Amino acid sequence: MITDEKLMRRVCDGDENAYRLLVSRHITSIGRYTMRLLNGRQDYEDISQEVFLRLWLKAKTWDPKSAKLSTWLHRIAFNLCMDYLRRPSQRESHSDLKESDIDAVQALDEPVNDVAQRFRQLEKLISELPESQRSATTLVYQQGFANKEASEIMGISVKALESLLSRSRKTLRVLVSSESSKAEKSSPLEKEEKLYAKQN
Amino acid sequence: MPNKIDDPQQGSNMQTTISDEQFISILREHGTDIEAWPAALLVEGKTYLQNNERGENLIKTIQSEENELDMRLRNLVKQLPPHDFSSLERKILSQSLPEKRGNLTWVDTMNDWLFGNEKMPHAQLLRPSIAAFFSMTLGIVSGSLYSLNNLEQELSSQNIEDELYLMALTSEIKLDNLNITELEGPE
Repeated sequence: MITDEKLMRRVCDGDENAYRLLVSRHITSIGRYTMRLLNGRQDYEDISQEVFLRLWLKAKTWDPKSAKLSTWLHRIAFNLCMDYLRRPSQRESHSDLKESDIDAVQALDEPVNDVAQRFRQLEKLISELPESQRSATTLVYQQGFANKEASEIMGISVKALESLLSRSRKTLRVLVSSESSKAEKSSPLEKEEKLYAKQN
Repeated sequence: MPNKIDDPQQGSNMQTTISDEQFISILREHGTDIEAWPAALLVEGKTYLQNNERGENLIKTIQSEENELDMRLRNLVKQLPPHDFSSLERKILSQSLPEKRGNLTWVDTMNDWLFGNEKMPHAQLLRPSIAAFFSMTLGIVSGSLYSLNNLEQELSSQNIEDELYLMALTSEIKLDNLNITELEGPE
């Protein structure tokens, strides 16, 4: 398989086939990331398109030594999405909840048996996270980036990213803990007491 | 339960509001790396750790809990049904790509800047206007400076000639009234 680096060198020379290969290779991750950040707004297609247009135009600015191509593309996508979400019109529409969404939130209290329903709830919970937490969660949990790479994409420190992940885990905990058995649900204080007893 | 602690900096006993449950809640909220906590909570957290033996164990417990949760979330999120992006891919691949340009000369760069190589309609009007304004101002300033210099030179040279002429006239008058012997001085 031709590496991203070689393809990018060909893109620099204006090779459209190399560009097509790169689009096919990265479209799923970029599409998924922009769709998640924009919460499924139709504009995610335009943003993804812009990301790949920049790949074509600014290929020379990519330094393979400083970042992987996927990291570079995600950084472009993150900046474009943030610019888009900062527009006042987008801020207003962001908080709108549909009837079906409210149902999904209410359903969180009920035991989750249906896999599809659990996924719907997960999608819903992720979509309700603030933008920065949503980005961190998607990058680390879904796109499989290491914390350092994800922090580079978002332009924050690793500690700040871990803090974002910690806060998003607090929200998503509801979903995961609902499938845990009650026996596992002892409080941290009880667990700590057991640990303390073991140590002594 | 709130813990009574000594604050070595203030040298007095003070009652912290932080309890075991609150410490756990902050750990969950901001993570198990206390150094990364917000400044306001950092002092509370450190004081709690200094005065509670169980603090370190609580951190370990929460850390293992978070790691487990992390793993489960990772697995769960990865299982989310994949979205089909084939239509988006077609859309991107069907768009006509702008012409790739090699090394630009300074003239090309200036042209791009002046008439806009990107989709910026306002720049296409604004930039030529700015360029026209600056060149006009430069022309006026340099033109006026050049002509003023000439005028000054002309004036100054004319003045000197006039002055010389006047001096010549005054010396003539003086010479007429002077006694030659006075000019020659006593012998």
